[in-house]
Amino acid sequence: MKGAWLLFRKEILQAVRDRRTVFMTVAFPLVFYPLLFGLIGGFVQRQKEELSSLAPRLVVVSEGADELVRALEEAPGFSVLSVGDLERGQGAMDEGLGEVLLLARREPARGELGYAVTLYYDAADQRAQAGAAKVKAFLADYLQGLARERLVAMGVDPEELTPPFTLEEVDVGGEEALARMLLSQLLPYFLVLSILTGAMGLGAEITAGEKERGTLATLLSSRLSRREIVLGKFMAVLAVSLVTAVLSAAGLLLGIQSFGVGLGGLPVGSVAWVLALLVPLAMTLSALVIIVGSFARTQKEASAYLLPVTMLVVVLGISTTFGGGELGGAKLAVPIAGPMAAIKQALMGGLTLGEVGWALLSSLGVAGLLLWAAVRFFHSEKVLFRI
Amino acid sequence: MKAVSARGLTKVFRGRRGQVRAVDGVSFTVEQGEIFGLLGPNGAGKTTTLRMLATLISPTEGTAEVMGYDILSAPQKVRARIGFLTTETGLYERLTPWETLLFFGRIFGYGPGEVEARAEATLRVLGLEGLKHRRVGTLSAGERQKLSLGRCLIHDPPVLILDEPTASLDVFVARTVTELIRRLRAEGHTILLSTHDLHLAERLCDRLGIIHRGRLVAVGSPEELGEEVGGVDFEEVFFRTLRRAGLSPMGANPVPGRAGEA
Repeated sequence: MKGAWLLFRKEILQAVRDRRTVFMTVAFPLVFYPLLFGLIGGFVQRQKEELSSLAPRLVVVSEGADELVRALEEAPGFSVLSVGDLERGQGAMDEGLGEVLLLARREPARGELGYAVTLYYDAADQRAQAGAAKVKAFLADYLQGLARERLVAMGVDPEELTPPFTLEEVDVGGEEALARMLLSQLLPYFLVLSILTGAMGLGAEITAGEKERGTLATLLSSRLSRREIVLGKFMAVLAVSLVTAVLSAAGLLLGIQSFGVGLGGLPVGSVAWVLALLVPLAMTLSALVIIVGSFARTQKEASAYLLPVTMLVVVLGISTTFGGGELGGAKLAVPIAGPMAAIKQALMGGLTLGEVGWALLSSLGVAGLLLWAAVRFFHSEKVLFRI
Repeated sequence: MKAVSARGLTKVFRGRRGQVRAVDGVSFTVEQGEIFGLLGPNGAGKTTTLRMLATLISPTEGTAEVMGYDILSAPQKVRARIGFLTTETGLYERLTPWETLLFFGRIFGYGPGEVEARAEATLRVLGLEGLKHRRVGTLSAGERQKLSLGRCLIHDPPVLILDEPTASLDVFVARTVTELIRRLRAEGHTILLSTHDLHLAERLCDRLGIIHRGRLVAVGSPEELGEEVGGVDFEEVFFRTLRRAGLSPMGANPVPGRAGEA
């Protein structure tokens, strides 16, 4: 297997001299991901602040509900524009004079406190949504206040009617649990994509690309065995895809930090599991890229063949990361999806050694099978001259 | 022992549009230390024959031996005894000539000190010492072709299989390459090359096999071939040989020869 090692070294030397590979492997994950998450984080933060300080502009149509409208006008945090009827109200909304149109109708037939309130707003507009939420909270308080007044007027102490019940919410997870939840959802998906990106770039070049440039014929007529050639190329793709994945993970962590969420409490054990689980994931994907790239006649053809592979991996990634069904135990033996689910579990806690074993063994098996098929294909002349 | 011995080599390619008999029952031998040329137009079956001998493709029928090893049963041993130059230079653009030679030398099992000494010597023979640390991608076509030859020579193989070694080279580089090939013969290498250049074949090869439409129609030294068909120059010899074999250089077969021709 000395030949495989020699070929691996040659492929890596070429890869580090290729600007595109270096950019995709090192610069892209370390610069693009933090930048992307930094921008998203900044945007989300700004929007959150903007919505919390929003004073919703209300267009109000009162049909005998002047008391309610007055209370709204006096309440802090609202800007109220009263109009005569619903048609005018809708006209004002169309002109962009308000986020929410409120139609308040007094309904004495339903009792002294009878009101019918209708809110019109665009649910797709975040400002309108936030405005409507504020109006709803105000109305709940207002109606509660009216009820209390009425009880007092009836000589009843409202406190006596209220059961001795208190509700307190305590976030036991804290900031770190939130970060871990975020990581467990994002990291497996990002890792599998970055492994594939790293593997595809180099893999297509050192298989189909070599065919196109005529260098594969040189290798095939050398003393290297077909097995050494496949193994050397596989090791190179595996190494580059692993480096891409580790740097992508680092970039992602930096990005998440820029949300202002601390990750200091991420256990070393979880990090170690994630790194260990990258290997089976990268093995399967690298072997897949090698066999697809070897089958293709040109680099362009290889990219076309790898597109469905990417789509499949994306679908697997989304269903594993965001899907409801949990993969656990022997189910972690499912190629690609298994190690991804295991990474998710490792971050959330509760991953067992047995489960890692399932993911590792099945990936080894699948990668081995794919490489065996690749060696068989390299023994055929079709690897060079497929008509 | 013959350096190369081909017996009934046949290659049929099967594609979506049917099958093509690219090489049809080709048999010839190459003596050790000679330059043997396969001469024929484009598409004659020269490259396919050489690829079979280099174990890149398997014959549909027939077989061949290179330095006593069968291409079908001992391909690895055959590969260890040949240096194969393809029509493309087959070089890695991001490596330097020095790294290229070290890589191929190590592949063929040379240790660190030995491979470096061989690489130095090869670069000196090729006149590429001054370019040893330049990237291959920046070399001229002639420099690349010389390096490709160097890559074939790094493990000192007894047999060199060269597919169109002077094609697409300017006259100066082509001359350097042909001189190098002669020198390699003088050092004891056997050279099997393909060419469609009649003058190169006549000047360079000790013996020739004329191949057309996959069939080997004549084998002999340029002089022997001339005597057989009686041509005034080698171009005439080539065409007369094809006609005698009932093969038209251009049109459909068979084409009768002109009056008075052999």
